[in-house]
Amino acid sequence: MASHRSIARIPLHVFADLIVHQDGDLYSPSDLRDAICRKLLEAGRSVYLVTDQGIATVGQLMRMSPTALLRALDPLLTIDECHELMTRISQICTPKPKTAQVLYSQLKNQYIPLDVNGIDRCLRGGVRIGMLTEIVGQAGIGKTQMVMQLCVVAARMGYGSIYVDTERKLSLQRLYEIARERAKKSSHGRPSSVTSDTRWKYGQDGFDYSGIVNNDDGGSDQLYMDGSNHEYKSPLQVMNNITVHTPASTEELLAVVSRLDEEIVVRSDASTITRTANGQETQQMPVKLVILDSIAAPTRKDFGGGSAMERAAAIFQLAQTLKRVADEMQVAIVVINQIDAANHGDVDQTFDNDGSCVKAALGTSWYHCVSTRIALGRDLQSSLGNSHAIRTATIVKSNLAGEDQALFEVTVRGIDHVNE
Amino acid sequence: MLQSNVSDRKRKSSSTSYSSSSSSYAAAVKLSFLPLRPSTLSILTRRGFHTCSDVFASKTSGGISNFAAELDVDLMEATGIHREVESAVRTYYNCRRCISNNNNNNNNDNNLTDPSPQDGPVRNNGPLTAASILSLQYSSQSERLKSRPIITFAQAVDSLLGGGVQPKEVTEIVGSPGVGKTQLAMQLCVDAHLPIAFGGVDGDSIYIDTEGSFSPERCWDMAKALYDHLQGSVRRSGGKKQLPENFSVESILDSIHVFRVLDETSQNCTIQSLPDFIEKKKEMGRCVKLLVMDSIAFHYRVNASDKSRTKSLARIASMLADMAVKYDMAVVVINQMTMKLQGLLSGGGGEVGSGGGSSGGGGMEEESWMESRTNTTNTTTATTSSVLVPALGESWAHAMTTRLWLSFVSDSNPQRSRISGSGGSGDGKRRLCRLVKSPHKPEGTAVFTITKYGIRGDVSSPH
Repeated sequence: MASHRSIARIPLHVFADLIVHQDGDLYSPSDLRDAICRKLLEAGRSVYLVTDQGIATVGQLMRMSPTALLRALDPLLTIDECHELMTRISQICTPKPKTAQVLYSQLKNQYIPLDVNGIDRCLRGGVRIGMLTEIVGQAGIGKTQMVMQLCVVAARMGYGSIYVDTERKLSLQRLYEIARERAKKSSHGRPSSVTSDTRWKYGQDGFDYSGIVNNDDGGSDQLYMDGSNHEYKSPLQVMNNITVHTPASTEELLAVVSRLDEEIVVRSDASTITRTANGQETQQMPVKLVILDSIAAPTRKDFGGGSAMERAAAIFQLAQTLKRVADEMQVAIVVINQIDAANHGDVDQTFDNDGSCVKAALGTSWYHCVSTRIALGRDLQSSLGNSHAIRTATIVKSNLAGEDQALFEVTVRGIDHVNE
Repeated sequence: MLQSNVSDRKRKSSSTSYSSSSSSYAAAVKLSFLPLRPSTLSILTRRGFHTCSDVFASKTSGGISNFAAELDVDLMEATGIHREVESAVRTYYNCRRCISNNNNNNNNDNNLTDPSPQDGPVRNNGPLTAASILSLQYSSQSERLKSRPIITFAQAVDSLLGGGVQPKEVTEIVGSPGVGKTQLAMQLCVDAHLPIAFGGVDGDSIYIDTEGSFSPERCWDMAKALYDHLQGSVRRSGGKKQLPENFSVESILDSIHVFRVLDETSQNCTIQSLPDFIEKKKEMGRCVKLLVMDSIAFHYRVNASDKSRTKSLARIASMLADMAVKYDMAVVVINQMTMKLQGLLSGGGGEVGSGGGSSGGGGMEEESWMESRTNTTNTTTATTSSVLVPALGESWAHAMTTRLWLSFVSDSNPQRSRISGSGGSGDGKRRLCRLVKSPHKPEGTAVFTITKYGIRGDVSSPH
């Protein structure tokens, strides 16, 4: 990040031909850089400047005004030269611009679908790579099911995932089940793979599924899948490409998040074929999906009442880091949020759910930070038999899709589409 | 004593400076007012130089060697000091002609800063009347057309703003999450490229994206809709109007330059290096007519109790305003919302980043339309009232020229489960836009909708 770039390591061309107020070369560029660093360190400790530890990073330098820099560097540079120095440093720390056309043409395969017809249609494809998507809903509505399915579908597309589980809610059995059930469908009922999986899980005492033929009940909608027919990977491959982190506190969560980019780089390094502990061969897939389940829990726990400002700052810091990781590493980040009780007086930011008033946790500031919010709820208008099973997914905020709603239900295969 | 002398001389010289050569004009400045290096200043004052007239007179009378002798330094250093004083005076007065008589050979070399903005004529004929400034502003019809406001595509909003987003000033857009600030900004970027014959300014736009909310797909939707709309205009005009040669959906998207900044320093650096970028574009024949910052608040809210951010923000505000004037472009800044507690703290009030109050379970939120409501918290603290206000505080609010407040028109469908009211950029979703602060137009409201084609007017109600 540019903020922490050290001034001492700025390239020398920035300091070349900087001094013009006197003729003759008093300083070579590297001497000038050293002299400036020394002066800034001393000056930073004095009263009217930024910090008492001395100014050493570009971030601190850029916060100063040119006149403050003039005073700090006296007598090295005149005011014009201070302006010039700041301009030159800005130019090396400015990101390169891209035109909208370039960004648009790079958009192919920029989403991970859920493989649920209605929801993918609402999202115009799926969860976006490079952006922060939030899933919010009451307890037990299916948020974790949804993200587990996302991991499985990501694997189908050849992507690995990282699952950050702050509440110990991830059921590995369920994840395995989803992966297995989905692999069954597109593999047209190949019994052998099922058997080997069962054996992996239960050994010889597991139920023998061989011989069961599964009917293929109509192809899944290929609306948003790209042309190549990806098959669902075997559950083993899926599980081998998901890493799970379980931070216990907000500090640990921040630590995990700050190390995410490192992990992504290491795992995406080469799609190598590695051997797992069981001696199975599996392919290492690049990471394109990061799940954070959930964001509300640790902050709620750690920042009790009265420290709203610290909590807000922690949330913003988290949001900033997550967005940076999403953008630089080109991964989709999905965050699960919970809901709080609300006053009946609240007009907006509430949703009615069986009569009670609730709203998303973490407040307006967090809501500003997400690009897309998907709200899950029960379908109150459902007339399809068992109305408890039908749920709704509503896109309430998106910079790209209109507000839209789709129905789904939770099945053994994870999340499935329900026709309206 | 010295002060009154200075002001006397200033008054005297100011009346004559406009008509005559201006060595006396520049003479009035006390050296301590100038941005000189502290060591330079101490050398000069130690040797009895207190105003710049002393400095200039010393050189004019006996050349640089006289100056060097009086200062008791060598020739090279004396030249350097003289140059420094000169350029400081130049910056101070923003008037090159003032000191051209003093030192002709230093005017053209090494202008590291460009001191004079291009607006306003150089004063050499006495003070100008407002009428003459107004008529002088645009020398020709083509200039006037190029400096038009940028439309938003919703007629009601455009009339609210006096034609659209005005150039040469900073407009702030605030609103709750999901209300459509980014959508409006993207629409403006697309509209900035409208050809002049069709009501536009034919300009490029710069989009500084701090949150990653820029959506190329959405931009494409808007650009395509604009292109189709213009085709319709061409047809309706019976061929009298024609689209320019290279105008296409791709060229619209090509005119939007997106800078993705990931932290506060990149943000500061980007703003600092924009003048250079704009100049380069000018050399290539493209005028930048719009600068969007989406959003200004994000990176500043990471540090909870950062006092030095006010200074930093003030600098940014002034840089943006300067650029708007200098390059004759519209600057649009998007701001977030925050909860402000009232009653607990007097005067300025504290700002609470997220759900306000001191509740244990995640905060109370309410969207109040510019009035505060009493809001009891979960814990046993006293009743506090809180209101949703734009982030970044009062001093930032003062620095903005125009402020536009977007909000939802409440959805009257209680059956649907909804979070955040009727949020989302859906088809036909209505928004309310309120002009809160403007030097040109009165306060007012306008309704617009966000459709799949972009920002459009509200068809269900008469304008």
